[in-house]
Amino acid sequence: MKRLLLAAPVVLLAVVLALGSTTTFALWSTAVSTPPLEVQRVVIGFSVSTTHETKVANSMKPLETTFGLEEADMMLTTGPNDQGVFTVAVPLSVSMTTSGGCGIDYKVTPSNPDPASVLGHGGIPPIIFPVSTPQECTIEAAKGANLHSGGVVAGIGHGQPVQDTRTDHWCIVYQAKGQNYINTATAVGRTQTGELITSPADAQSSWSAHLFPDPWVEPSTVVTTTPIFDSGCPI
Amino acid sequence: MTSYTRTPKNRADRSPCRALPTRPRKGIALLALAAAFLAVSSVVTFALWKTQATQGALTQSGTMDFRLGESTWSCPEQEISGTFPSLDQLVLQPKQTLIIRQEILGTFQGDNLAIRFGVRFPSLPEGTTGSWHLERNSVQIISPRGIEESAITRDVVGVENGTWILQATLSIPADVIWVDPSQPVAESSHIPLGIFTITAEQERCGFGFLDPCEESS
Repeated sequence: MKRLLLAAPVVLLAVVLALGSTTTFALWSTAVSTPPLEVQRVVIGFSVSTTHETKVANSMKPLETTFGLEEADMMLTTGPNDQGVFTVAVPLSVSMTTSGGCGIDYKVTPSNPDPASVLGHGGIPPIIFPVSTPQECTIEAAKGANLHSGGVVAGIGHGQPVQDTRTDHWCIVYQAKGQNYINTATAVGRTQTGELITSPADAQSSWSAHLFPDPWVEPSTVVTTTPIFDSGCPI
Repeated sequence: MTSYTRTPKNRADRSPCRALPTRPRKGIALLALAAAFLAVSSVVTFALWKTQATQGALTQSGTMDFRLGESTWSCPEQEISGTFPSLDQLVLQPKQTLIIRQEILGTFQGDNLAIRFGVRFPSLPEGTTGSWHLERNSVQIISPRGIEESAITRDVVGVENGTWILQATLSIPADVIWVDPSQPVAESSHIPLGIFTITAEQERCGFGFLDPCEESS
């Protein structure tokens, strides 16, 4: 009798297993899966480079690059032209990349240097024009160049599904005119006979000076570059 | 003189007290064996279903099987589309729509069979929303459902071999990534979506069962 009682749970377990398997026997179930999937997000890149700095955008905010001490020193070292104008040409590059059909344009605007600075002395506004390479950015290239009026510059057109990259090169020319002093030294005297004579005025008797502020305290002059995305870019 | 030999193996000579316990041991062993056999056989046949079961006066029988056919994708805003191998080339802008259409080549034969379809995207990026629906011959037979929601088709009657289309419409928060244009594109520009799993389960509902099938559309 005792063994019968011990055997009862085993029998019950066997019956439960048998009934349970019978219940699920008729139910059908399956699952199929694809390989791992992925898409890409839109990649936007915008940067501005000069000979001594590179600014990379991480939003639509304008980028500000600066010129100053180095350019002022270069301007004074080069010296004036025939008209007594001091000039310096500085290259600036704008790089951009987009994907997902996003178009990107931009504006590039050099600000007027402080009139109290070397680059702004004389109040002559800077000029900017496109060049093919930074090396082409020279004072001579400014003559006859197609000057940029300051409007929107066309960058990468919209609708390109694959990533596209482009770099534009610009040349900014600052011109300045210092306080100019010209003097010609002459000597006037009388001969022993009392005749009044004057020394001839020639190149050796003339001198001039251009007065500029100290270039070592030159303030920064800003160039503002602003990315502009077309209406198809949800940025 | 009669010789009497006591033979313990002779059942007739055993006392009733010793004979009784041997019978239940054999019964238990047989029952356990039967249970084990049933359990094992049900596991083996579970993945490939073909059965016949009787419930009262109604006989239900059938077979079910399905596999994936062609997979296509499209992005209506960009007016582009393709097949799955090229999906990783799709550059999705924020708030744009990704539509995935998956063919299901199925065999659903039977009487009064109901199938519960479900879709799972276990690894979608956080914030993804969307829906799915099932089409047969360009007609929705399961109306749009949430991504993790399953639904029961109408009863399958007779032979239903053919192609179903499961369409998932996803809105993925594909935020723009800002990069240095002078550098190669970082791997972070890719958005893993994970795998896309379609499940189909037989449901005991509708005609012949106590529970009604829920309306699917």
